Formats: sequence, structure tokens, C-alpha cells
Amino acid sequence: MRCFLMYVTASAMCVTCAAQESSVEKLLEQSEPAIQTWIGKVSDALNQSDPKNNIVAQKVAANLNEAFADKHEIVKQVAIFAAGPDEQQPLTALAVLQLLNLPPNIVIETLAPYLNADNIKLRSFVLDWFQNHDNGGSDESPLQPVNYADYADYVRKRLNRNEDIPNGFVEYLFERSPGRALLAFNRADRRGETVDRLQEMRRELEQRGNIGKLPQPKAGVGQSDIFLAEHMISNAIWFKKHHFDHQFQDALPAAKQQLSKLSEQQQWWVRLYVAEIMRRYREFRQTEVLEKLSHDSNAVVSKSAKSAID
Amino acid sequence: MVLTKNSELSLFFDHDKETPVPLEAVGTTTLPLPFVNDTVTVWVEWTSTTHSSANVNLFEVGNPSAIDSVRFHSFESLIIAFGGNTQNPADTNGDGSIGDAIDSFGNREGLFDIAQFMYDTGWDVLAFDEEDVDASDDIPYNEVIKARQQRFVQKHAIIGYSQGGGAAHDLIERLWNDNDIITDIGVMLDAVDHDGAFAENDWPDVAFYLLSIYQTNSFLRGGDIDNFEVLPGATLEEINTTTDPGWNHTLSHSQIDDDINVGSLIIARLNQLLLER
Repeated sequence: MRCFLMYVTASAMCVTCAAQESSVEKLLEQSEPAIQTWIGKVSDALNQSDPKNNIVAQKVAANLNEAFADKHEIVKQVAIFAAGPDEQQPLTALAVLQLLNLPPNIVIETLAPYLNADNIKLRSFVLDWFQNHDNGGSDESPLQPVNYADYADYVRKRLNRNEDIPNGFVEYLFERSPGRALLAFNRADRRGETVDRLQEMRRELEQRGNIGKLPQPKAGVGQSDIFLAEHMISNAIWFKKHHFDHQFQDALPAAKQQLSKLSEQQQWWVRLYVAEIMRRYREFRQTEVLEKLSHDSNAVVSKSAKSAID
Repeated sequence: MVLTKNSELSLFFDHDKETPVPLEAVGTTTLPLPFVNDTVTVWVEWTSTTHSSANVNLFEVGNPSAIDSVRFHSFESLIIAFGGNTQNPADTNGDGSIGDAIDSFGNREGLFDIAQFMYDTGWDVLAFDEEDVDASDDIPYNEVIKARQQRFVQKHAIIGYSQGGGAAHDLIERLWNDNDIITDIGVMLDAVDHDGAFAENDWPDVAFYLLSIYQTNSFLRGGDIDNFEVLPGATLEEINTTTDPGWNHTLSHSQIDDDINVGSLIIARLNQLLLER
């Protein structure tokens, strides 16, 4: 039985790798010479040693922006440029993208599928943009803003359209900041209950005259449970991180209890949060929870749980 | 003279309810009122948890015929209105309207003219500076929360122009994300990002009905909202006055809030969707 399970897992991983690789190859095949020429011009301007030429680069970037209405296509072409032959192309592409100053939602929508790309230059370029954008990570300062709001918007839009969220993007969010990732998904993944309420409101409105039948705001039990759990767990992590050992030991049992509860949740992203916290912090690990999550139906959850066990 | 009242009402001599108006034992008639120079101020509060209407009547002691009567009803809806950048929700020129002239060229605080019209026709309207949406006292947010949870208000609208449209967008999102409250009708009039200068064209997560009216003649402008964001059951009504037939195609950012057709549509939609005052 064990051998059989291992075989299935290995097969599934291979399929994922193949799909990812082909999508990168597919991207690189979509090079548009006209836009690439413009990107090359911006790059040439950036590569001039005279700092004044940065103004030239800005002007060329502005011209590129004006020349093509499809901003997603521009971002895609910059990503293709990043994977080019020169060693500096990922960083040059990053500079070009920053000069273009496009709305973050366009960049996120275009680049999120490539956060775990096999092509190292493409992955480096995409990763740098996201890390610079959200300003999060293990070195985040309480004095600096961290932006996961744009990610929550992206997740909400994908889920509202019944579209999958790229695995690489999910892994990036939870590895970088599991608590913020949980809150972002908690905010974004509400399509079902929202549609029910909107349709109830529409029915009420259509029966004009039935004043007073509008549903009162609900407490949103599941959502607030997750909200509270994240706070309790983050609080315990904060004690640990700042070496308040006594307070950490006091907070740990309740935090572990919350993790155990969350591991039973229906939403895969809640279980991923549990796996990621246990992967990061040994003190929070619970063998039976990790064992269960390592066989989770969601590949990202099981991957994270397995790495915690290993 | 005395007042009589229905049980839904409570009477006070001051706005902060420190001094109730003393009642006879029956509880519906006051003791004789302490007039000074033929004047007395009485504050009336609706204290019932159900929506209805109730009267306060003025009598001479011993005379069963009412001298005067005032009819009160509880508000069942609320309109929050945000003006544009630097627009003042106060009646700055003392003409009895919060919609005032901004310059000598006929440019007005059009969104506040709409708010004043709704107020004058009996709606519960609270007008705010757009900066109030994230000010520390948090009044617009708290007013909606209190209306929905403590005054049993059934529907609410949030309307705004320019950066006030951005404020309306932000408040609609916050009410949903922090308090699970769906805004019944949002109006984003040539909405500009709150605290920014570019178009606010983001669907505000969840709203039952969103009316977005914008023009594309000026640098400052609203913009096209992605229809794919609108969930089943919700409605997005969008008008580009620069290109849509039937509208004044020359409207600029500073003119769009003063346009009579734009204002009429907003007023019509508020009346259609809020149902009851």
C-alpha cells in the first residue's frame, strides 16, 4: 500500500513539472518583435552610464506604454525579455517594468503563473517584482507597510470567475507570510455566501412592498473564527520571535489548539496555513495533524506538510 | 401646555438625553411644560425596535383639542454622501443648502446639491468631506454600522464624487470585509482614487447595485469597471457621458457633478432602490 501511494505521488509531481515547463516554453514562444524592440530601446537607454540618460529611458518607456494598449501583453513581453541570453536581463527587465509604472493588478495577473517557473531568469525576475511589491518576508519591519491587499484582490477575482490560482503564487504567499496569506484568502474566498445574499436581496427588492424582509448582516462565523485563530497564532509567534519565552509558553497551547481546529477546515488554503506554520515553527508541530495533512487532497498542502515532517 | 406622545417616542429637554421630560403616571402625557418667553425645546427619540410612525401632540391643560401635532417616523434607510476634494459639506454661504458655489464660473458642489435634494425630500442623509472616510473618529463607517445594527435600518446608500467616489468605494469595501455588510446602492461619480489622482475603477468587492458615471474629457476622471467582477445577483450600471448616447459629451470632471441629467439619474436610482425613507 505504501509503495502504491508513493508511486501515485511521484507520478502527480511529474505531471505538474511537465505542465509548468511547457507553460514557460509556451510563454517564450510568444515573443512579439515590435514590443521587444521597444523594450530593447529602454534597456539600451538604461545601460548608458550617464545618469541623465535615465530620463531618456523614462521617455522611451512612456512611449512604449503609449504605443500598446494591451498592458498585460507588455508585461508578458518584459517577462520574455527577462529570460533572454544576457546575464543582466532579469534585472534590466525589472528596471523596465518599474519604469513602465503599470498598475500592480496587471503585473500580478500576468506574472503570478511564473513564480515557480523552471527558467531561472524568468523566476528571478518575477520573484524580485513580487518581493519588492509586497515588502513582506521574514525581515519585515513593523514600521513599514506590507501589501497583501493586491494579492487578496487577485485571489478574489480568480475565485469569483471559478479560475484556478497558480500553485507557485499560492506557495509564494504562504511561504513568505502564512498569516497574511490566510487573511488574504479569508477575505477573498466568499463567493458562495455572497451570491446567496445578493440573490436574496434581489428577490426582496423584486417583491417591492415587503419592507423589512431584508436579511440583517450575519456574523460570518467561519470567517471570524479564522480571523481570531490567526491572531492567536501570530501572537504566539510574536512572543517566540521576540524571546518572551514565558509568554510564549503560556500562549502556545491555545495556538496549537487553534491550528488543530483549522486543520479540519474545508478550505484547502486554511489547511495550507496550518502546514506552513508547522513547517516553519517546530514548537507548533503536531504529529497526527501533519501526518493527516501530508496526505491532503491538495498537492500544495501535502507538499508543505511533508516538508515539515522531513 | 402639555404634550402627548405614543409609546414609541421618548421626550427630553436636551439633545444628549440627560433630562427626560417628566410624564404623568399614565406615561403618555407630560407634566405642564416649563415655557420661558413662550418657548421650550423638546428633543424626541424613536425608542421602539420596529419601524412605524407616531405623533407628538400639543394641548392646553384641560382642553381635549390638540393645538398642534408633529408626526415622526423612524428612518428605514440611510444615505452617506462624500463630496470631492476640498468640497465642504457645511452650508458655507448660509443659503440653507450644503451644495454651494465653488467659483464664479457656475461650478458647484453638485454631489452635495444631490444630497441636499434627498434630505429635503425626507431621506436621512449624512454628508461628509471625503477625508472623513479614514479620519481617526471614523464617523461615516460608524454611522452605517449603528444604522444597520442599532437603528434597524434596512438599506443604505453610499455616494461620492471624484475623490469622494474613491471614498465611497473604500467604505463599501470596508463595510463588507470588516463587518459583513452589503451596501445596497453605491454611486461612484467620476470616481478618483481616494488619496490619489487616477481613476478609481475597481469594483468594490461586493455591492448590490453600483452606479458608476464617468467622463473621459479630463485628466481627472473615473473609469470603466471590469464587469467580470460583478457577482450573480449584483448589478453594475455604467455610463460614460463622453461616449454614451443621450448624454452631454462635453462634460468635464468639474462639470459632471453639476449636470442635471447626471443628478436626476442618481436621484432616481436612490429612490428606486432604497424604497423607504
